[in-house]
Amino acid sequence: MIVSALVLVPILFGLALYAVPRRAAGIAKGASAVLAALVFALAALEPQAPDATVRWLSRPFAAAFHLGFGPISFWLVLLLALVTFSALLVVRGSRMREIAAQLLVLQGAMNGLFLAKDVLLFALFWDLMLLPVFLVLVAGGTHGRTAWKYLLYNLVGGLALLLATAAFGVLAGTTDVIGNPAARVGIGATWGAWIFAGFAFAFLIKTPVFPFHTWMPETYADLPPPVVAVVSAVQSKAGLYGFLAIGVPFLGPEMAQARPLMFVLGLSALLYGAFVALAERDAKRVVAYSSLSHLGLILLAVFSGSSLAYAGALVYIIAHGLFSAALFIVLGAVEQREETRDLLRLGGLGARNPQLAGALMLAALAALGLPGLAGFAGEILILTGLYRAGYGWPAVIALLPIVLAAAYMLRVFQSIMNGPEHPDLPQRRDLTWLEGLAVAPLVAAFVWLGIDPASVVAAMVAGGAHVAGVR
Amino acid sequence: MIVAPENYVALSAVLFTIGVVGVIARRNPLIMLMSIELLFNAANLALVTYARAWVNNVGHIFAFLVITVAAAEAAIGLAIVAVAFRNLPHVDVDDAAVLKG
Amino acid sequence: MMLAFVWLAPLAGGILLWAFGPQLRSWAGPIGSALIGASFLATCALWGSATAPGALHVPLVSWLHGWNFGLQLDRLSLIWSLIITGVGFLIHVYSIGYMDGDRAFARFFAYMNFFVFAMLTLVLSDNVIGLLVGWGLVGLASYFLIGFWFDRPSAVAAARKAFVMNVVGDVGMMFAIFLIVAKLGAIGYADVFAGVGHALDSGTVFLICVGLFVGCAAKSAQVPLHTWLPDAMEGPTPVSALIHAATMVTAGVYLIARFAPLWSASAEAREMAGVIGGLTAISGAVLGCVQWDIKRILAYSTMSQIGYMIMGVGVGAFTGGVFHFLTHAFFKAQLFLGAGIIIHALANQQDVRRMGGLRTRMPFAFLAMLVGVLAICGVPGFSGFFSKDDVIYGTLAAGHPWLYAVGVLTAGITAYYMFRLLFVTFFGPYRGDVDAAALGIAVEPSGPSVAGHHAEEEEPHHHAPPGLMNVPVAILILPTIFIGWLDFGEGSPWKQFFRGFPGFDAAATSAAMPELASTGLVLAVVAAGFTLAYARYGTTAALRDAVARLRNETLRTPPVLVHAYYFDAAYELIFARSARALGSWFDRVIDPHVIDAGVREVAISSEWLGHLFRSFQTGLVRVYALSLVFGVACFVAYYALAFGVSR
Repeated sequence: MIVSALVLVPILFGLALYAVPRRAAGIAKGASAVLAALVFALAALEPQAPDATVRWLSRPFAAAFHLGFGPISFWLVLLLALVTFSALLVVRGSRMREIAAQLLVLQGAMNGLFLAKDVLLFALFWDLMLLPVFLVLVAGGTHGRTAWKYLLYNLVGGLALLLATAAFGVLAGTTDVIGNPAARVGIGATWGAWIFAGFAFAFLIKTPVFPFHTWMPETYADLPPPVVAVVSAVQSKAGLYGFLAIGVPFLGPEMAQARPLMFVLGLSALLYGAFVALAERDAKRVVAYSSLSHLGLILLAVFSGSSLAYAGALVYIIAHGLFSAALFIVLGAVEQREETRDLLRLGGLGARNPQLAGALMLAALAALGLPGLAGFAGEILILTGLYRAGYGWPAVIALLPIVLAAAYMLRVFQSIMNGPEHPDLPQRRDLTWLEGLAVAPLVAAFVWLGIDPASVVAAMVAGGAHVAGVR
Repeated sequence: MIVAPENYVALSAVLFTIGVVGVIARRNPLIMLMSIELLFNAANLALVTYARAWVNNVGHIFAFLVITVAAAEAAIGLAIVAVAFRNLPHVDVDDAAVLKG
Repeated sequence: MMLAFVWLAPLAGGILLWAFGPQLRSWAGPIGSALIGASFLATCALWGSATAPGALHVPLVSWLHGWNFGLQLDRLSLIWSLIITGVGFLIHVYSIGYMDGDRAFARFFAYMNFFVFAMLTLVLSDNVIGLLVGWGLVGLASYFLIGFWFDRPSAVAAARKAFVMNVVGDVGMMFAIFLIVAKLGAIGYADVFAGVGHALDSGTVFLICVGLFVGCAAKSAQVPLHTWLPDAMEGPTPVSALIHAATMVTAGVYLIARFAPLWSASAEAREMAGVIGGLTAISGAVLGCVQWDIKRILAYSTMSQIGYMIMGVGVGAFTGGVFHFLTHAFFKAQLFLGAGIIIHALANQQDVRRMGGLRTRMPFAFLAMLVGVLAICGVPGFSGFFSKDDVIYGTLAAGHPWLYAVGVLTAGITAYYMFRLLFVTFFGPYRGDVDAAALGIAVEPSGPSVAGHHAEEEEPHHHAPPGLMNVPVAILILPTIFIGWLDFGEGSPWKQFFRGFPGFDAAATSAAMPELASTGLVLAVVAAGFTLAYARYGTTAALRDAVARLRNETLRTPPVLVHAYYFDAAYELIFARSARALGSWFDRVIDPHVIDAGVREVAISSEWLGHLFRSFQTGLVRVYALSLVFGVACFVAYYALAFGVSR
């Protein structure tokens, strides 16, 4: 009941928002923020909520409309609710009502994805979560090309996912298996590789991982800040979640087989993203490429087969969600004030806008992995896990991007906030209380997670690793 | 008088062929609709013949189904054709090639 | 409880002053200082429990099995904590006077308090990851304070450089942590030390030491990661005194002393640390001889002195190295604060060529600087004498004659450049009104608002420093002179204090020469350095035509020294520029013209397929019907041929 509500209520509420007159868009925004907060409270207060199951298909394989919390999905649902709440607070402009509505639909669809305990259901929510983003892009009017690029790339992945799911169902007899380690599904070696390839293709495009990433910088640059906060913070984790929830428990041998390739891809993403971020001029694209780099690190963790690295992966997934959302929200605030994102044109804002500067500083510090904040906790767990599992060289190579991250994140911060003030830039007011309210919970969360990630780690070491059946 | 089933089947085949040729060769939609009726009835004839020959009522039931469908088809098809006749100076199905790729 | 107070009071101050700075106005300084003072008193109160066997330990959080975080106060961290909070308190008080009138007065104290918190995290942690957290946070505090005047592009660049270089060090430490966790599965110091010789074989111990030493080199400005320290002088002078002289930059010394059991177990690691330390000591001292900016002279001398410390703890003379940290914290803070008084009085003039004759105008500053110079040069009786002697003799005792020679030589160079500073600054005529070109100073078109951030725009005139700045300096004079006597002779209180500390006793002592003879040699070299400085800058003749001589020297300095051995240029070329070039090549070529082009090829080929299929779609119903019939015919024919004929 509760888990179904987590999926259906945001979607229905979001669609209902279209009935609100445009004049009252502010009310729509406020109501949706309240709803997002309620969803967060509901999930946080009821972590033991029972599963909701409706039998669905019986042939050619058994499938069910089966939703429920798992050790990973619980944290992802919380993350999503928190980020959606923050994003809704900073929705602004003439399309306020539409964007708020699509954010809620997106939240519902992604809750469905994370809560789905049936692979077929997972695949259906996978495609559903693409739609709100596409609609926001296409309805903006000026970003049609980006919108289609986003949709085509991800739908191609979605198609592969659907085919792989069908094959998985036929061979295993049922797709109602996620989070159920007792379901020892037997997939032969013949088809296992193909099925894994289908899943992996979809997951790699969505994450994205080098070289499937070219849709991402454009999409991130063109989406309105609140939506890109959610997409970068949570939607990009869908693929990694898929690897952890489906790949690790059911396609273990194939995961191990693909490890060398995935390590190469992950390391390439890690380095490639970091180097490009160093050279980009557009603030949002810097953060986009930094995401490419960070997610590459999580990919390494996911394929390491070490429970320490899995714990780090979950911590880093949440940490990246928090700080990338904060970064995009603050950069959105900067862009809205100064009407540019060009690092060479911006400068000197810190003197007049100390709170804006403080918020950007905190987010940038978390992103560059300052020890004591959540990003560092994830990094150190992942890297020590990798090293401990015997992958010394990948762990050592993965150290280089940490230095690069410090360089490009400080470059973003300093080019915007420091230096002499630019007289040609409009000087608007400092962070409003609403923007402050949006950023504050994210900051609080990544500070807390950086100091004491024990509960998240425990979820993975006890529950997740047991589900994953790893050493 | 008992007529051998082969004859019915042969008649059915002949009717079907006439129908097919009609649909393919003619460009007047009215004639094409009539040809389609011919196709339906050829099929019906075959169904009923086999039902009788094998003493199985499924064929009869199916024939009724076909008759209903044919009636519905005729109603809609004739309506479309009537509208087309009213709006166009002369009617040729080859002019209706909007779906050309 | 008390320990948590010591640790968190500065953090509370930092947050309070950061959040409510504008409301607190001029109260920010006293509040910030008071919290540090309280933290210092609490640390003093903990002396007894820290020196008791087993030290003081407070568990905090646990991430997972073996990853336990806590605070511990033992003898080593006690010494460091006392310096951090004690000297920190004095410098805070000094800053109330120095930063008076600055726009961001409260922000300055917020950062300073945060720094003290971060540094305490570093020294109080009981495990390697907590250490790394403190390590990173002090780097952040240093970044904030170097870039404190953030509308100055040079300060901003210096801050970023310092931070990025320190991240290089963090990464080295992360590598050490990999090894520790991989072998032990635990992160506490106690676990690590227990593992030496068992779970950690000698090769691993060496690798761990290498990783730790990278961190140490970055934080303590050892060659080749030293280039950020001179630039860090862009920060306000109290910052240079506290962070870039007394405490943070000596964290590397703490690190090696903390991991003394590892260093004791690896001769290669000792060799490495000793050589790098010696190299840093001498190269820093040489660069100190050609600087004209008073703070940069002191920065290079800091680098050189830390080289001594690293050399000391590196070769195994742990008590000596740590003792040099202690005395250096006092006399270098003294020197920087004295320089701060001058800079403040001369309205941000830092070039010693534009000073001169300040002895009569600022007698107190002269006294402060004189005491500091005597201490750093190791004049007998002053603190530096005892500690430097310990280190230099320690290298000989550990069997490194070459390092010993470097140490002795550096002592002479130190005497030379410190007295050069003293003579040029305080003797002869005042040169503040002399034309810059006459002194050979290249006049650069000054960028927007280079000076004048400090306080209001004021014309260069001398004003007496507020009493608040003099009091801390006066207090510091006492330990600068007398603290050295703690380590006088065999069985000194200092050596007693560290008896039995993990790893400290392992160093072998086999002297090739009696200690007294060594001391005599060092003193002779120091005297030679002084004589040279006196001959070049102190004689009546030299002082009379100082302007011409300084001009001459400015123009004739070898370029390799002016550019500090071209380290900066090389790094810019090898790392910074090539990384940016690679990044933009990826962005401009690989992304659009390789990856996207590949995707476009897929799109084009599917378009071609589409064209093919499109030709089938004539739109003529009859054609569709015909193809339908054709299909059925094929179907029927197939079955007829396959089954019908055969029957």
